Amino acid sequence: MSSVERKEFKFKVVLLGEGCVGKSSLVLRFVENKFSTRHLSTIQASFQNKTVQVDDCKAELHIWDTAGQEKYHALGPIYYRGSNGVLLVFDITDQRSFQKVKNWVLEIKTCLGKTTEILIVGNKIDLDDERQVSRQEAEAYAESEGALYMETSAQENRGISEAFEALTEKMIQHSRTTTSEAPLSNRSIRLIDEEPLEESRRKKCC
Amino acid sequence: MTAWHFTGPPGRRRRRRKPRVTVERIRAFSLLFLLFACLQSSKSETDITGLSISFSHTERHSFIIWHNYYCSDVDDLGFMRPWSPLEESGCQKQYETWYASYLPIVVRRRCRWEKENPRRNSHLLQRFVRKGIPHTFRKELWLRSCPSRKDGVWQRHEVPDEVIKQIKLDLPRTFPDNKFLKTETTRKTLGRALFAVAEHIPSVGYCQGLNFVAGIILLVVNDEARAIDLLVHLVSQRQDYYGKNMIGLRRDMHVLHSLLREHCPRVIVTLEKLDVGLDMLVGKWFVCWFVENLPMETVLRLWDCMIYEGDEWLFKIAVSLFRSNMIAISSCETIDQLMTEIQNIGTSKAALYCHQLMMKSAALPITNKSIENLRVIAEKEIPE
Repeated sequence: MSSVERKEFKFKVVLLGEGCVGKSSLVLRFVENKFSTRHLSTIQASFQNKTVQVDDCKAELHIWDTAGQEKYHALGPIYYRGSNGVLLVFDITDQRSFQKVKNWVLEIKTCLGKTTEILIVGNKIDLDDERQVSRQEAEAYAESEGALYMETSAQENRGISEAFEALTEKMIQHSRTTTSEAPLSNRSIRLIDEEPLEESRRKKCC
Repeated sequence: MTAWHFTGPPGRRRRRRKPRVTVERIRAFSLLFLLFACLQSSKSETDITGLSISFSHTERHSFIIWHNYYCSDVDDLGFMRPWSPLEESGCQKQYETWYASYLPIVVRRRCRWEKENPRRNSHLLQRFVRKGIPHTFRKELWLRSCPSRKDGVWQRHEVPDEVIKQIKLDLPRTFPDNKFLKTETTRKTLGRALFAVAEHIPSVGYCQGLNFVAGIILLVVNDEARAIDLLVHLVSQRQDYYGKNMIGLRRDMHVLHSLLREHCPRVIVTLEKLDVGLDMLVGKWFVCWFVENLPMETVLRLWDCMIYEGDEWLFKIAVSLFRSNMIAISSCETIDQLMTEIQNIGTSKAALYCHQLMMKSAALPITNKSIENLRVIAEKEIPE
């Protein structure tokens, strides 16, 4: 089967980022079109499905929403391993969360190499008055890393479906150009073994 | 119009046969009862609380419990009832049927506890705890073997600013719908409780998930100092779950894997076929001792046993849940199907019917000793 004719895709997408930047709210808005101010902290990870239509292609997204706390990153590689797309979320009113995104980019590049597409998301643009990270700065950074950059507001439902669609488009292109590789579904599940864990930990400390 | 009328799919309202005991009927019954009680008490010149004049002990208990259950949208711990119109769980009907079948058990347990006083004999007490501690005695039983911080069991350590910041972030994200926890004072208490854990157990600091655990303890114990004692005591027993690499959690996932291989091999076949580890699927069950993963009553029942007997109950419940949902789980062909099934366990019938779940789990041949043995083996298998 030629990959160019492929119309249906399955992608694993992971949301990463510091605590309280709005990862779960993004997913809730995207999947159920809801927003809640009374939100619970995410423990470890939660999982959701959603199908997106991009041009004439259909893509089923398996979205993994992860806990923001660093402690859970001991289990981290399990989540992003085998993912086709990563959403790195930060809060535009919090410079620190943007720095955290930079760390994530490094970690993902070392662990996943070029097998994944990265989309950096600046969330909470409804709080533009308190903005600490300028659009230009974030855009320039994303470009330097070969990633996409988009701004969203889960509260006001701005830019969210656009963000997921843009990422899906990129993932479709990616999977079309890398046809020779094994099917993605096979790569998304890998042994949770001692070695990769140790390896990633060693890399993390640099 | 009552809450559960809103649940049917819009436009397709079919008249179904109602279960014999419905919330609606009990509410009506309860109101009548109250009226009757008022009449009775006015005759004998006592207030409503003097119900015992005209009703037997059992009847009075049934009435009070039934009244509390059905005539308010909020339960004893301040959580929204599953059938409340504000609750978005979407399984109100199922809850309604379950409550109707569970209430007689609650009433009976409460009467038995008062009559029998099981504390005099440890074997009897274990049996009683497994069948469920009535809400009024829960605090006492949970605190039974908990040391007080005043005795100097715990040393104080410095708490890093980073930890305090993380705790503060999670305070408004801990049961935001709970009647008590949404007030500023209780949130501050919760903050102090989590701070105490960080202060006394520096290897843990703060780990997301403990906020929910602390929330439940505060609500049940309802006394700041003792709640903090209990929280620190319970977390210290499982502190390697929350340490830097969550080594204890990973070890216990190995243990659960071995147990499932023995008690529920079909699930393991599926997991191996899909090449996925348990820590990814059910790690959070163990991190917050099933809070936020199972219905509240099931969590409380499980904690009764876990606090009185030990960690083996976490495993017993996990194995039981896997066994009850084995067919659905073992028919999964992709990771996302599997993940969806695992997430559905929390709302499954097995999870809701807590009394049956507890009785089934109690019968499983999993003991403290077998867990300890498996832990020793697992420790050799996991990397540092």
